[in-house]
Parts: sequence; C-alpha cells; structure tokens
Amino acid sequence: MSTADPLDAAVLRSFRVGDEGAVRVVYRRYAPLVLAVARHVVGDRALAEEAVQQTFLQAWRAADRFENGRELAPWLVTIARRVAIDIARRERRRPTSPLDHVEAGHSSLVSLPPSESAAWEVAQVREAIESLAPDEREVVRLQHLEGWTQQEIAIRLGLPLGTVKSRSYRAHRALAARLAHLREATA
Amino acid sequence: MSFDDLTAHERALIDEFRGALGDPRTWDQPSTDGEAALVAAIDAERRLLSGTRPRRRWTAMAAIAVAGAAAGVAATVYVMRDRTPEPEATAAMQGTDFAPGLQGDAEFTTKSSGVEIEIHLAGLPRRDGGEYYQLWVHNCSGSAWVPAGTFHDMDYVVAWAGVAPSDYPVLTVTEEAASPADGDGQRSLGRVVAWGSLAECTT
Repeated sequence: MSTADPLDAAVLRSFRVGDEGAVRVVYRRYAPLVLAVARHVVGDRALAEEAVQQTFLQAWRAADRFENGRELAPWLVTIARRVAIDIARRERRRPTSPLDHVEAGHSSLVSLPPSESAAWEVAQVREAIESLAPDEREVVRLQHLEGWTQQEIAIRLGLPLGTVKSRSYRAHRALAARLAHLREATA
Repeated sequence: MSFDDLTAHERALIDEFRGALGDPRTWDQPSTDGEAALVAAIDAERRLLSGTRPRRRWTAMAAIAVAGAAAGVAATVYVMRDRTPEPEATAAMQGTDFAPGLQGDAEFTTKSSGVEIEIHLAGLPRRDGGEYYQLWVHNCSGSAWVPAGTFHDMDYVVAWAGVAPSDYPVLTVTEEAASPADGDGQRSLGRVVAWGSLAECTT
C-alpha cells in the first residue's frame, strides 16, 4: 500500500511520450522519495543525484511496460534501489584510498544496500514527510533532524510555544497515520 | 494539544521511525538542476528515437546497413578496394538544441581490434579542466549504451568501439565532468549535444 496520491492517468500517458510538462510533474512529485532511497544506498549526495537521473530516465524508457492503474511510487523505488546499487558497485571498483582519507558516508563504506522492503520504508517515511503542510514539516524537521526542543523551535522561529506544540501534534498524528500501514503489514 | 498528547500507539509509531526521521538522507532535497537535466535528457533521447528527425543523405546508406546487418553481414556501403580498409558506413552527425547548427559525420571501419569511428564535428567548444565530451554508441531502443571514449573537443576524433555498428547504430555525444569527489569519476549521461545514426530507428 502506498501513501502517495496517485498521479492523474493523463499525466502518466503524457510522461510516456516524453511530454515536458508531464516529466516535470512526475519528477517534482517523486524525486524526493527517489533521492531518499538512493542516498540510503549510495550515501554520497552526488552519486544519489546521479541515481535519481538514471531512475527517471529508465522509468521513462520502460514506461510502455508500466500498467495503467498501478501506483508509480513502488515501481520507481524498485528502479531507484537497483540503479543505486549498480552505481555503488561501480564506485567500489574504483581505485581505493586509505580509510583515513575516506569521508564518513562515502559510498565505498556502504557494505550492504537496504533490502527491497527497507528501501520502501525509507520512501514511505519521505512520502509521509512530503505530505505534511510546510509549516508542520519544518517543525518536524527541526525536532528530529536538528534535535531542537519545542521551546527552542518557538524561540528560533519567533512563534508562540502553543503554536509550535499544536503544529507538532498535528504533524506527528499525520505521520503516524501515514506510516501505520507499514507496521500493520508486518505485525 | 502537543506532542505529549499523542496516543500511546501514535507515539510508538513515531518512535519506530525516529531513526529515519532524524536521518539527513531522508530530508535531502533534489537539486534544482535535476529537473531541467532530466527534461533535456529525455528530449534528446526522444529526438534520437523518433521518426520525426530530419532525413538526410545517410538514410539510404542506413537502409543498406540495416539490411546487411539482418543478413548477418557487416554493413557495407563502400566496398573494400585494397588491404587498407575503407569506411564501411558513414553517418551524418548533427547538434541538438544545445548545439544548434552543428553538423559533421562519422565513418565506421571494422578492424581486427574493433570498430574505428572517425568523427569530424567542428564547432563544439573545447572542454578542459575536468570537463570533457563523451562519445557513446547505443542501440535503437536506447536500452544498451557503450562508451567509446572521452575527448577535449570533437573537431577530429578517432574513437574505438568493441561492438558492431549493426547492433549499436546510434552515436551520441554528451558533455561530462569528472566527479569532484574523487577526481576521476564519471557521472551518468550528461547533456546530449550531438548525435548521428546509421539506422532509421523507430519507436
């Protein structure tokens, strides 16, 4: 099951023939989750961007084989994971450097790519984040990524603490609702 | 209402995904260039594969080349007259929208070590300092691409490919840049600036 809002069938038809507007719509809709999956596989930001490009190109080339009525997100995630694994393998074949000179997160340090289900989970978390209203998303980002308290967020954003708390509440309820199916499926 | 007012079930779910929510990779935003690059790449490839591209003098040669390939024979447009191989086929090269007006040609000669591809494609600016042109040969569907060398300019280039022109009849020139991360890495397919084909590929 996906949390994604499916694209209009007309957009997909236009995407198949390479219509620029449709390509842009598909990219904007799905690039964040494709990037998230790619980054979890290759680590390196530039390589992940490369994987995003290749993923959408491959999707476009194979779009004729994509069945109407299916959701695009799981298909793109499958392609993205495979493409990113190929890129990671390619990078590992390059001449090596001493570990002291390798930055944390370098693709050569990634030993095992996420499984298909783990990649899907990453994509779903990213989708859930994307589904939030921008002001709620920002509160969640500051809370989880930056590790700020609600009090700190209120001060830094110049908002009443009550506003931050209510945004955090709404956002986390929405996230829980969006992600619940992942645990229900494995329960 | 605040975070503390979530139900136990909701809090448990959030806790389960706390790792992903706090991971910078989850929050990464695609680059603003990515969308335009994708549009350009698809457009270039679509033009390569569409039947709407301009028909040129090489279409007749291409028809012969394809017929020859179907018979399992290397495409022969010019008959070998002596022991020095003459080009077997010639493809017209032309610029994409990124290099409008660009014209040239590519000659294919099969030798014992591979297929020699001699290209004359004057007009592209020289690329240095980690940037370069990449020549590719690929099949009509675009599902299989083989690199055929990297170059500073394309004015006069002799490239080699280890695959048959009958199977890989399309030539594409892309702009590439070495990866700044390791100094020698190649990024994926860059902007397509020129192309040519021995075969009349159709979608």
